[in-house]
Amino acid sequence: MSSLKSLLDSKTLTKNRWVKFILSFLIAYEILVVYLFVLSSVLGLGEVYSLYALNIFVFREVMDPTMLSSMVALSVPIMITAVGATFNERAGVINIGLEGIMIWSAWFSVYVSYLTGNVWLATLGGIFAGAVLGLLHAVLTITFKAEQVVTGVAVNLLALGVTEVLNRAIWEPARSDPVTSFSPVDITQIPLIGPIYDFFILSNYYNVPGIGGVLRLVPDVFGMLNNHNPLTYIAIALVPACHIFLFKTKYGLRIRVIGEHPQAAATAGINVRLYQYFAVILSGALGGLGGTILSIGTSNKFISGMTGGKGFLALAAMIFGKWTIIGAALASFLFGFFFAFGINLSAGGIKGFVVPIEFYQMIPFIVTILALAGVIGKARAPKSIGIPYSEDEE
Amino acid sequence: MSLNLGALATDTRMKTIMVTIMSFILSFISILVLILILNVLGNEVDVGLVFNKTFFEPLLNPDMIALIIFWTGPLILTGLSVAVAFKAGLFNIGSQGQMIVGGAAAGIFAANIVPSTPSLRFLLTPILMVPATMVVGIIAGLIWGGIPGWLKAKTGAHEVIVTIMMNQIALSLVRYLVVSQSYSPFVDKSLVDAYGQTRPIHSSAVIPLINKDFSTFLDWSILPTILSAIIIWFVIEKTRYGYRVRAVGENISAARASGINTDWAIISSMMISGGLAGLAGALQVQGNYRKYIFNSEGTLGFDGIAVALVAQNSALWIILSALLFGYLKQGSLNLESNTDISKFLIFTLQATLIIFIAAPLISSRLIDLLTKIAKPKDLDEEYNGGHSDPPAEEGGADK
Repeated sequence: MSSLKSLLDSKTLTKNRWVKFILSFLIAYEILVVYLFVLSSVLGLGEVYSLYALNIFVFREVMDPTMLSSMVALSVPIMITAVGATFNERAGVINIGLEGIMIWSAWFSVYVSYLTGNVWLATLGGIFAGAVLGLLHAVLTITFKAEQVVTGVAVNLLALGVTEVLNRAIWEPARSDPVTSFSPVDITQIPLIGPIYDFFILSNYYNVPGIGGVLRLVPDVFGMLNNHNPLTYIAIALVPACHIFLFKTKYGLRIRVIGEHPQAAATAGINVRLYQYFAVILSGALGGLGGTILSIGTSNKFISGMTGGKGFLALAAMIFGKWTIIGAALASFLFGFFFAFGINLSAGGIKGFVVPIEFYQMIPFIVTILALAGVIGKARAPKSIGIPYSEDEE
Repeated sequence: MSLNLGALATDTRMKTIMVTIMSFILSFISILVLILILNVLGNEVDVGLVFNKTFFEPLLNPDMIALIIFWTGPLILTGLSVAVAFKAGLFNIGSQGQMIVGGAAAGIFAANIVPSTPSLRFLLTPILMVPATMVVGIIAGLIWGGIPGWLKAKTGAHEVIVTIMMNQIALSLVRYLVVSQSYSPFVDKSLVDAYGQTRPIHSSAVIPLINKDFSTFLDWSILPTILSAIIIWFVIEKTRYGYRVRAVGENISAARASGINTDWAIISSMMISGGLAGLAGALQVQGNYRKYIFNSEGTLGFDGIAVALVAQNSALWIILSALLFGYLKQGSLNLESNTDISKFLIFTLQATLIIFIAAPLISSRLIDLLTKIAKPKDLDEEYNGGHSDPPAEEGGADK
């Protein structure tokens, strides 16, 4: 499989990055189709289509506007958490505790909403709750130089435990009562911008003879970004901001230097611990936003286990995105795609075609392992990651 | 990116014990704080009642003592699983996934595959079937642990991330195999339950009870469990292989320089680690449940981390440490069934315990502070001479 990469890199093909991007997209698509084809033949559930037919049917599903819209909804909590994770990993601190941060802030935002009835206060509460756990992780790993992975796991367990204890004390076990939550924003209803936005939604034209069929072959970007909760838009807007901060400002540069070589950064007069604290707390806050989107953003209550490994997925997306903000965001959308796609197909997207949803859900984890193993590109972690910083080490 | 075990070690054995005790005290304080928060939130929680239900009642009731021993079994195995990997400098948080896979494989093997395969029917006597089912569980866990080990050795992929991913894949895979009534191949079709389970395993694979009069669920699976602890202790502490594994864990580049096959040490220790967790899963299937039930593992795999850390990864101490956590687990269940307080209160205690043990600097600083207060000034200088902390952030604990 690693020859795929070298094939794309070799001079026989083009060096144009867009052509490369489209080629790798097509290869990934074909692998997905073959994966589904093999699974449907081996498992013997439902109809077995020919590879040719499956190519066409799957493509139609990939471009399905409803699927794309739920892809956005499923990706955004992962995306914003993955963006946060990029900060702390770039600063040389591993944060396995993101799953815990998400579940804890998902609960806490529901609780604040229950107390105040104000969703925006609840959002602030969720972000604050995430930042507090981030601070705890920072104190343990930076000041007390604990083994980062072990405390990260402990933060997960702690968040899970505290959430369950408090939830049980306030509501019944495993779920909360419904609380005030966000409702989706229909952009087309906004005066002035609305009609213009509506003009670009491709699914409006699907029934127009002639161009309708062609438009179905292109993703409906404007359509899939419509009708989400306000936090989703905030989270999406934060991605370019975070990218600029980490890669275009001197503060971002300092964070990245600390992740590679903290002693060198310290020699240059940078307060290493201050920046590390900042990065880990920021990561907690963004993870908190992710958890908030999960609870009061897309639902109206807390259910235990509602993160369902999304914090780990964020970690995976960050790795798959090769420790960059944009990469992490794109990887989150890819992972969200597999979930939405799996839900869509197991709900009978292709007539008679059955591949259990579990086989879609495991794809993100499999591709992350492959990415870590160097099969799909080479993912390289920041050099000094996981090593507590101290001045006297060379 | 290898595990920084230095942060877990402390100066002397005495200090280690002190830090462990201090960690326990600090964790208890954390729990008291949590109970205080509950009280502030308007739940009138009686600390005395909590302590009585959690810590005293389980000791007075023979049924509960049996349950404590019952929980101890899988905790010993998952604790050993985490500890073996720790010895090689690896952090296996995949014990949960390895246990799930081992349990599911054992359940499917004993409930479906052997009874329905004519060529395997000869296995259906207890003498063959009991060990065969265990071995199937071990092999499944061994594969699930071996993959991260192999990737770590050959490509440098961080075992923690890979085992997290493997946990999630295990959940998906096993959910496919046993949960859905519509498409799972090994689900018990006769039960339309909310959660999935296999058919009951063949009677020859069941591990018999120790004594029906004493307890209706305590079975002989404690025997292979204790045996594994002794074998692991012997292999790790007394054999050449164990020496190599420990050498890799202590300093991988020195081990490589002295000619040890570090790749094999990493892969094989992860395989042993996975196999132990797989055995834990298999024994649960063969003992108490007599079928594989999805999610019946609870958090036993993750609990293994605390068990191993408290026992400082020593195989024999793990037996005691597992007994302690089995006792806490039973206490938490007793607490939940008798009061309105979640059993996760004790889970939280465990989490804080891991935090304080993984950050020994907190406890050792506190101990230093306390000794400073307790001792006269001139003695104090001498006592702290070896590793006194400069006023800056530096501590003596990281080596």
